[in-house]
Amino acid sequence: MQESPAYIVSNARGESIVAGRIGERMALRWRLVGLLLVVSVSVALPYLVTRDSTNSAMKARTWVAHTAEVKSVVYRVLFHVRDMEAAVYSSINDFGDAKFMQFRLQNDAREVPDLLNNLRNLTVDNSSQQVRIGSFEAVVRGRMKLLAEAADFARKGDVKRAYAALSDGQKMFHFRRLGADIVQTEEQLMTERSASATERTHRLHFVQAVTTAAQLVLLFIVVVVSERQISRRLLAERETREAVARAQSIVQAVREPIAVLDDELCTVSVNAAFVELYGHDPAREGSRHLSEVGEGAWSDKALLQRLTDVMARSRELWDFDLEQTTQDGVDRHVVINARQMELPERTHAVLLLTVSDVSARRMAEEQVFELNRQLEGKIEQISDVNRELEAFSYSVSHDLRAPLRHIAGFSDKLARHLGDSADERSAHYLDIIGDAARRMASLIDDLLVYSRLGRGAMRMQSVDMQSLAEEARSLTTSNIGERDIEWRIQPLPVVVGDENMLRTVWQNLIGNAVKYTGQREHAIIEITAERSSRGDYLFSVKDNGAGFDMRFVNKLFGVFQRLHKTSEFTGSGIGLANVRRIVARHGGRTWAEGEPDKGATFHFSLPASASADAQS
Amino acid sequence: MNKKELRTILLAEDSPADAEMAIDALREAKLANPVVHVEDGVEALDFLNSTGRFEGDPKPLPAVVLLDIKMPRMDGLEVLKHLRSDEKLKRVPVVILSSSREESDLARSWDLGVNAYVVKPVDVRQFFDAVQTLGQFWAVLNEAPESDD
Repeated sequence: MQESPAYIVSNARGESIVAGRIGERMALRWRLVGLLLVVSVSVALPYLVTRDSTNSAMKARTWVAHTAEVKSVVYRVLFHVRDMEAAVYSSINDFGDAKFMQFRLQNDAREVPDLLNNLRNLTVDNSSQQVRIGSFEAVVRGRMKLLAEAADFARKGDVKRAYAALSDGQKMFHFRRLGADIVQTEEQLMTERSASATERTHRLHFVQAVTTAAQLVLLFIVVVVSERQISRRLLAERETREAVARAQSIVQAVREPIAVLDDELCTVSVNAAFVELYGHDPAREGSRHLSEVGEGAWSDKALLQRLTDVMARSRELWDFDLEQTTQDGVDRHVVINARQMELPERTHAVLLLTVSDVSARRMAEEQVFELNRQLEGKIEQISDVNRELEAFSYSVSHDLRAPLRHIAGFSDKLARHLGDSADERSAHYLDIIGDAARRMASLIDDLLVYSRLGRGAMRMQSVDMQSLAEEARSLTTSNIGERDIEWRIQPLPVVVGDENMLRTVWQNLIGNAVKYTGQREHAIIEITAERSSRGDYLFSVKDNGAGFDMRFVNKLFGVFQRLHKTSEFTGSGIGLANVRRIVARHGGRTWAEGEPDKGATFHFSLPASASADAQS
Repeated sequence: MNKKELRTILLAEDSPADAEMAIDALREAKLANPVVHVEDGVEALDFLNSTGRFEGDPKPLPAVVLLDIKMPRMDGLEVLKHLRSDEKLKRVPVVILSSSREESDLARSWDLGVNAYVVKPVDVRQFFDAVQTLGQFWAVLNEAPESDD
């Protein structure tokens, strides 16, 4: 369960993450190569330098030993020759045994050739020393020969000749200087070699110092780079942990159930909403096949088949409608969406399944559907009523006016038929009959107009209220003769409405204002328009005419309702009823204020967007 | 057709009172044209087609047909429709003379090709004036084309 958010997030950016990892691996490989190179250089360079240095030191020591050995051999040769001379002298002077002398001579003579061979071998690489050693050897051998002669003379007791031979040997073969030359040359060579060895040592010290410095620099670089790498890795790990935690929180907080299924449709991970609705958490209970989750909530075969198809053919499942009973015992209408996705740590693709609970929406839709059905019923009823009204109006138009025409027509014919024979009373009665018929016809016409205003279709268009008001004023004032009327007409707006209907409104309101100021010497009629905070237009027609008592204000807009006597002001009382009906059909409102003998103000409003009445 | 023979005025009106008033008005206008009164649409077509009770007595086409709308059997608008769809009768002037000022009646009449639509005034004088004006205009002033027969 805890793993699921990470899966989902990493999958959402799967491709870029895979690409990133390949890049990281390459960089790591290069870093490793660099590091090995640095380590090799740091280890190999000192080794090479040290090895060279050690070889030089060993050589130097060898040369010192060599010089010492040469010196030793030279001195031993000298010693043996001297010893031989001493033995001869001892024998001559008679304080030595001849046999002992012979023993010493033989011993020394046996040693010297080996030593000379040894000396030659030691200096075999030096030709000048070989030359010196050759001379040295000749001198030594010459002196040894004379010594042997001296010994013979001594043994024979010829002391004089023995001395002479010894003396000749010492005079003719000076070997001390030659030996000293050899030794000196060897020492000279040793000094030179020591100096060379010292110089080389110095050079090696320098190289060692440089190598050490380079090692230090390289190690410093390695340490710094490693430190940076470690810091970056730690930072990346922290960011990854945070991203995982964030994604986890988001997925857990999502109210819609989410599940990740494997290719066998068994649960891999789910979010909290899923656990809450279906009571299954693979993190605690282990994976389970979807059909076994939520006590049959997921047993729909069609859905399972579709999900299998999604896995098998890499398809997506869009908005699959499903009705299921969830763990809380509620019947829900849900919509299922599913798609395949890859997870970096899994070899097989998985299925991401999301569940949207649309029960409330479905219920609302059903309610809307039901309300619509009811509304359609009401509309049908209204249409029926309208049709009946139309039939009624049609009948009134055709049938009700004919008898009135006949009453009026034949009363007129009767009057003419009677001619002068009719008395005054009969003529009066016939007049009344005719007038009544005409008045009734007029009322019927008014009623039909009123009825039509409520039924007829509205033709909505832009209407210039200024023009309509001016037109109504011209029409009204054209047949009233000389009147002193002060018109105060403010600028009026353009609105959206039925022009003919709005024309009727202005004609009625302005006509009324003119009519009811008929008894004023100086009439004032004021027409204004303003806009409310909601954007509605408010129009007013104010006059200083007869006014009315506010107690009867509710009757003003009724059909055939009049607040004044016909003898004072003519009219049927249908005008304001028409005004109210027209304004109402435009979605507006009508009202009035007045005071007897002071005047009246009639207001009407039109909504900001004068929406057309749906009725036709 | 004999040109000197005066064309009739055909009045289709189911109301006897209206018919009487209309005939009185036409008589008062001193028009020489004979007025033929029929009481419904079927009779009007019979007269125009010389069928039914007018069979065997062919008459020239009328100068004008004054048609009421609401009549028994066949109303005025149906008669108008027949006339306008009949090749022989389509040019006959037709005036609707009705009590109705209903928008639907007006629109339908004009759509079907009526020549005039007059609402019968309740006032008797206005009624007489209207009928007399119609009679004089259509029977005297108006020039109708020669019919095909």
